[in-house]
Amino acid sequence: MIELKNVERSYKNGHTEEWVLRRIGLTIREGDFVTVMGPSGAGKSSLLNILAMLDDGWKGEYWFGGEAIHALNRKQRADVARARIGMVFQSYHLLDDLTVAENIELPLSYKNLAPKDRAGMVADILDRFRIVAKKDLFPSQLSGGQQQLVGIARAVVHAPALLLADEPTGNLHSTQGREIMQLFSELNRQGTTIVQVTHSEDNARYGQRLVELRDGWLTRDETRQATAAEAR
Amino acid sequence: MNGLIRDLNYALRQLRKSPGFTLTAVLTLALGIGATTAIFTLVYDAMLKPLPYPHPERLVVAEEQVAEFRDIYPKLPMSANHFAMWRQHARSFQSLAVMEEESEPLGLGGHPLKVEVVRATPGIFAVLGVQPRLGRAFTEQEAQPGREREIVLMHDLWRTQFGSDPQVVGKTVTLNGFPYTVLGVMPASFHLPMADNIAVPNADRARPVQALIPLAFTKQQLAEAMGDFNYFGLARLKPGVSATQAGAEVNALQHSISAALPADEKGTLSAVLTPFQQALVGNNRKPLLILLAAVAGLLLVGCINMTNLLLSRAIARRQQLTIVSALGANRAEMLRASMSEPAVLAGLGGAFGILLASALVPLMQRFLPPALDFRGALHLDWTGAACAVLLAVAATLLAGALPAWIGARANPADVLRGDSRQAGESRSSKRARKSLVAAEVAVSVTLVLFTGLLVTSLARLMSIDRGFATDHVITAEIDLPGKSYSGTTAAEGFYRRVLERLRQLPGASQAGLVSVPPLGGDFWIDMIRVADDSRPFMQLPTEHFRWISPGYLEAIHLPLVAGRDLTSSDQGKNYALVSERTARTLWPGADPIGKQFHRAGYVEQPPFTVIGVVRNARTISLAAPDPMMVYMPYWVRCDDTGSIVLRTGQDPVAMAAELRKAVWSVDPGASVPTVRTLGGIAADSVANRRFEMDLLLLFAVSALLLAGLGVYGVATYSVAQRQHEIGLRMALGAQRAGIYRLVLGEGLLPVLMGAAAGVAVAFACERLIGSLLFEVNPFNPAIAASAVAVLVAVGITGCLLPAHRAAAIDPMQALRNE
Repeated sequence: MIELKNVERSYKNGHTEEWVLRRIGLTIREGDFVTVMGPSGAGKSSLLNILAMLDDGWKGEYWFGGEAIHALNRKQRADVARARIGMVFQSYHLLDDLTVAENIELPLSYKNLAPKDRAGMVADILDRFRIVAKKDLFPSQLSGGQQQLVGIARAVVHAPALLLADEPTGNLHSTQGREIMQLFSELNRQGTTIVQVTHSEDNARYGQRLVELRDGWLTRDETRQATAAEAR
Repeated sequence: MNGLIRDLNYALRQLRKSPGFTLTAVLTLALGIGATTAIFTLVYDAMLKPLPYPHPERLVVAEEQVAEFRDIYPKLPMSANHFAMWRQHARSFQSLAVMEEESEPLGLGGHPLKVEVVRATPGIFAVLGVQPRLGRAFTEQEAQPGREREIVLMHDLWRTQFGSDPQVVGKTVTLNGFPYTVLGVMPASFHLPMADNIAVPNADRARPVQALIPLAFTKQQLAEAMGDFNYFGLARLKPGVSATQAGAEVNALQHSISAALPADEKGTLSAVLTPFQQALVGNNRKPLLILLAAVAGLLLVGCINMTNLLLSRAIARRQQLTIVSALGANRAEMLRASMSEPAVLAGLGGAFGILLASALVPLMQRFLPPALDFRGALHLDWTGAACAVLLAVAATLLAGALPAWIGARANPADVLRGDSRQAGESRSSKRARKSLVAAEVAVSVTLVLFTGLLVTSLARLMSIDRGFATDHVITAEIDLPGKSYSGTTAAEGFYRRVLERLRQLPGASQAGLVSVPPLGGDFWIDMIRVADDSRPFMQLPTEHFRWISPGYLEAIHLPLVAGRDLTSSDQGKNYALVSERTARTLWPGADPIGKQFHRAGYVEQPPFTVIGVVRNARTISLAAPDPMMVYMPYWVRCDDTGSIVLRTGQDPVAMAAELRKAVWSVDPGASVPTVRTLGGIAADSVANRRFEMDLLLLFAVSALLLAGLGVYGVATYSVAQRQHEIGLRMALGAQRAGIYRLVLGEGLLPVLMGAAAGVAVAFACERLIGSLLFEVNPFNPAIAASAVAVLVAVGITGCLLPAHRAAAIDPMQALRNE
């Protein structure tokens, strides 16, 4: 599904160039649940931003579902991302002025969908995540776990092929964190490819594959068959 | 006190760190305070500053009303007969005087100096409570026909023409060709507003009165109970008597005069007493108040802008304030700290505003009502400076109160927790900022709408079909010495020779003579009696008369619609031309050519025969079609003042010198006080409207700029506050066009709301502006829509840069900052 070849990312800092990703080669198959780990500054979030097509400043090749992303312009990349990728953030990033239902509908509002279809999709996801009763509440009226639940619902409402999660349980109590990770496992079982960035070994066990970055280099890539079951 | 100084020091330090903000705020306030102070000084000088006479509040202008003439003349100057009656019987007045103003040549020989002279009854000195500083005033005995050759000089004339000669009293001067004995010299501080400037709206700029001479009435004048309404009446009320009480008394006298009138002259008389200052302000009162309101609106917009800017800073500084609060400051101390910045800004804005006002106030001189333009150069005085200080204090309170309140009520726990959501701008604060933008847009739309109405009005006025042509025409006012030209024959001979010479000038295509040039003011009104009209005198229709020479109509391209023009071969014949309106009114359905009429008071004289009908035009005012006009030949009647009208094939200004030379070649003693193009006279006739429009335009453009700045400030702040949200939206798939729409939509909402409110306010003030408009409906939807469109365009411009910045937000960066 995803193939990165020699992907590199650097930032200019005065006259020097600071490298955050070096010659990354990575293949992710459909249905994978990949965990990216590494110390702070290792390049995890940079890698995730490239995968999310939020970053344009990288070099190398990025193939997504057979499409050469590196050959697309910013708008074309945004179109691909809008159609096929969902994102979950550590700080949820819900909009305070919108209700739960409106927050979930937000990515759909950027697609050419009829309001009726959008409402149907939001209703389905609210039902699936068992948060129908909370649909008219504002984020400030929810607990952290509930807010992240809404964040995930928003990320998957348009049924993306790839779900990217950046420290999804970083701000949550451990019990709430476990529930969120179980939800990821469930989504993965239903066919969603997941790439998560985490510092948590516990969370890493939910994935089948562990990728480690250090100083921008990919230093480890191993598949762990039993991790999900282990975690349960 | 130490705390206050510390706060002010701190505020100064903070402001130095933000030079852009400081400069914008200080300039905004300086502009608002300076412009408002300048207009206030003008309004104060015109409407509030006491006139320079003892107890000026007891001075009233006396005018008469004749119900039968009210359509043409709502008010009339006083008649000699009624003045005599009032003076004898009215008990409300301490003193009463009437006067008339005229321009007279002073001195003998070539090109005499033309001076403005007021011919007044001796009571004028008691009315104004002033006596000459040298010599004495004239007495009742000297104000008798045949004995009125005395003159009291104004200080300026004494200084400039007589070298401040202390022995001038008793000497003889020549005025209008007659010898006058100098009785006295008035004090330097004494000024007399010219009666003509009060009586004639939109008169030329005031020419200061330079001498006083006695006004003596003949027995015939004193016997004329329903005529000779020619004198400007001024009275001093007795202490404790109000203008209303005095009005009741003189109205009773008017009633008794009416009752005693012969049947043929029966008319309904009444009187109006108006406070002197109010009469001097006259029609200028409303425009002055509109200008004051407009400039106050501009200041308000400036203050609102500053409030918005300060609000943004207050929100940004909440953390700082809450630290102060956590360290023990009470709410009053926090308020003081928050108010120190607006106070410093207002102090600086006020200081620059005073400087700006001191530069602007002298420019306001030209906006003074002509009748009040006699107090010397207008300058910023202590009253104006006090106004600026008050405005600065008001600006501090107006602009600083809301931000200070928001800053002082921040909950330290929320802010110090560092929760961005809690520490960000609250919904009420956002609403307040948008409401402020809506308010400034409302004020701006009102100003733009009013300006649009005035501009349209003036454009329509200037483009209206006048019925005559002003291009390539130059006019010259002629003032002949009364002694040499006391009868029609002498003056007519002079004018005829001048016209003959003018027509021979190279480049001259036609020359004519008229009693008053088009748009040069109203002059001579009389009544006509046509054959078989047996109505009483007072019920006869009134007409505006002009005496003209052959060639006048052709010179201004005023066409005939029937009959023919006067020619030199008609010399001596009692012919007349009438306007279409006169013809239709006097001889409805009949051919007016060959019809005869008498001037109503002169039925014993030979009748006039109509030989031509002149097209209706707008020669008295551009704003209204002429009333009934009658054109008489100058050989039947002409006066010692008249106007030459010369059409040329070249630039008319280039003919000015030739024109004067031609006049002086006939008589070097003839005075030619003014030479102007007819186009210039037409433009001057709408000068007041143009001044009002120019100032309003200036205020409207300034308000637009400020409103644009306001929208920009709010949009910029909003984008800065919403960086994360916008980044997130982009991460979730929003496109750049969508972000533009988001920012523009949010920025324009208060603009649209404010625009709607502004249109509503402008419509509600329709009565205020309606009377200043010409053929423009104050509810004109196209102008209202244009005003809104201008503000929306300004709003869009104000939002574009912030929207562009928003669309350029890097979602990755925005989310990382979170």
